[in-house]
Amino acid sequence: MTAPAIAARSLRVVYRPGLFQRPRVGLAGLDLEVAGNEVFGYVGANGAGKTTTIKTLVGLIQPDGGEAWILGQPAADAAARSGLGYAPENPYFYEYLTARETLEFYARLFGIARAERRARAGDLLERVGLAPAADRRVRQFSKGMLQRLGLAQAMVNDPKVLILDEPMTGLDPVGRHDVRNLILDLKARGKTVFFSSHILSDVEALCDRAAILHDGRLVACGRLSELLSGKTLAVELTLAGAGPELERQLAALALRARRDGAELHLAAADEAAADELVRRAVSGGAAVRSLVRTRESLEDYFLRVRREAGGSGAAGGAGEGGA
Amino acid sequence: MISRVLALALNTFREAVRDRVLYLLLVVGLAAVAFSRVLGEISVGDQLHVIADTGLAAVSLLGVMLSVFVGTGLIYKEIDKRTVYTILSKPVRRGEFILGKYLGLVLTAGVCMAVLSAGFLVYYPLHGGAVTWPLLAALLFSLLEVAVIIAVAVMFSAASTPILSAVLTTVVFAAGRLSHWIPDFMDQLGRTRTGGSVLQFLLQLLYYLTPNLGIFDLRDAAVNDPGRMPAAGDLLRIAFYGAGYAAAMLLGATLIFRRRRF
Repeated sequence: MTAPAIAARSLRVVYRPGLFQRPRVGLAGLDLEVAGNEVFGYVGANGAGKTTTIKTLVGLIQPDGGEAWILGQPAADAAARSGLGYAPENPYFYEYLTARETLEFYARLFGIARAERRARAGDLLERVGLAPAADRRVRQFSKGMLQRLGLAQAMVNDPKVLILDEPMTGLDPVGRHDVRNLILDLKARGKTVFFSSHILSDVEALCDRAAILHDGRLVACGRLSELLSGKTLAVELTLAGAGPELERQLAALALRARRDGAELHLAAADEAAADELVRRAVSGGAAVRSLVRTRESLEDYFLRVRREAGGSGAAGGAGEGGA
Repeated sequence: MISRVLALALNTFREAVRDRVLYLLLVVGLAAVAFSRVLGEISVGDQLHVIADTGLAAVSLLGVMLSVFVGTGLIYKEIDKRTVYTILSKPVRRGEFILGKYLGLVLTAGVCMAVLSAGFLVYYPLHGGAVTWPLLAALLFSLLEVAVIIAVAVMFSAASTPILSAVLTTVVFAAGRLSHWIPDFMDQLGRTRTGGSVLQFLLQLLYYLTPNLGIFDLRDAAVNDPGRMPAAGDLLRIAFYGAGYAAAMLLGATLIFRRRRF
């Protein structure tokens, strides 16, 4: 049987900031399994433990309990990282090196031969859109360029598994579009991509499966089609030509009503209520401009799951910054 | 393992040689060598001895300054600037990282000291001095001493901030330079006071914990009395002692670094 690309069993991390400060739980017995060739989204509020999980998987943090594996090898072993690529959130590099030198340096850590190092550095810089800045020192790079270089160094060993921590952070819309395409391309090449993100629309658009983390433990994990109920949350109507009297009548039947110039926007609770609103609007002399059914999004689901798990604002688990 | 350590060492060297601070230190060192002639003229005694003394001292001082200023921030900077994230997430063991950074700085110090030594070895004969093997040995053992101090600096850098590391490394350097006097001092102390005092215990502890850097200082013998130069076998023993002490410091640094979370 093939080992999962990423696995964690009862993973526990506790931060002990100082002698007189209370320990904080970063991960509270995390169980996780990511199959090969999956794009897996890892979602959670600030401080939920996303970065702690990732740092434990890539060997930057030794857990207080439990175990993690990459491609079947214990994550704590340096050898497990041969088939792994990791891009940290806001990556930092040696400022005096150029982008090309940076990638060649990382390639050297994998024992890749000189000619191959050169070729790979060139290819990767092209792939992440940094070819024109290949021989510029990294200290002159913008945040977005550093993020792109971070993705390039994560691919320098042609890894089977990529772990990306907030890969869209600091990118402009073009950059985000490029990274989305890059992730889809990696999947097409048979890679496993595990990424954390605050941008839930990206997770929804890219992932086969997603997990929601809350206070250091998973509160939901599965295929998006299974997680999102698909039920109608509301039906949004836009009407034109509705007079004040008709508006008053329709608003009394709708969940919400809002006038925007000549248009009246209404929200109905379900399809039956929407039918009734349409019937009355048309018979009252108004015209229907649009009718849209709103289904539960990942964001709605995330907020609902957090509410059910007892979270409200910023979580009180591990600090992402230091974690 | 060797290729990873080498990659880290060469990268550390490349980073260092692109930093302007290094060139400033080199210029100051070369200026000190050039200034030695002026010192020789205004000093009482043999002008050549003063040039040789100053030149050798400048080479040693350059190495020590590099150890303290660069070495004490070597590991801390990697953690603080988070460059360590993208390195330790590769198949790099923490001990390899420490060793690579250490060797990179030793290489940097070696090249800087070699450049300054070359300046001195050209300058000295121009004023009638002769380049002898004791002079070359004194220069080489200055580098060995610096290699030991860099290991101490790296150990502290793995555990604390650059400022605290710099203070502690300077204290160890000073204690190490004076430690070969401790046995004599303890003898005198034993004659004047009853044995087993706390002071004697602390002195003994200091003697065994700090590196005996005095044994690397061959400058005085090389310049003033080449007959006092240690024999080849003794020089080898000193070199082994330095390597052993540096290895112990690096092992300590690795043990500290392995426990760290990033």
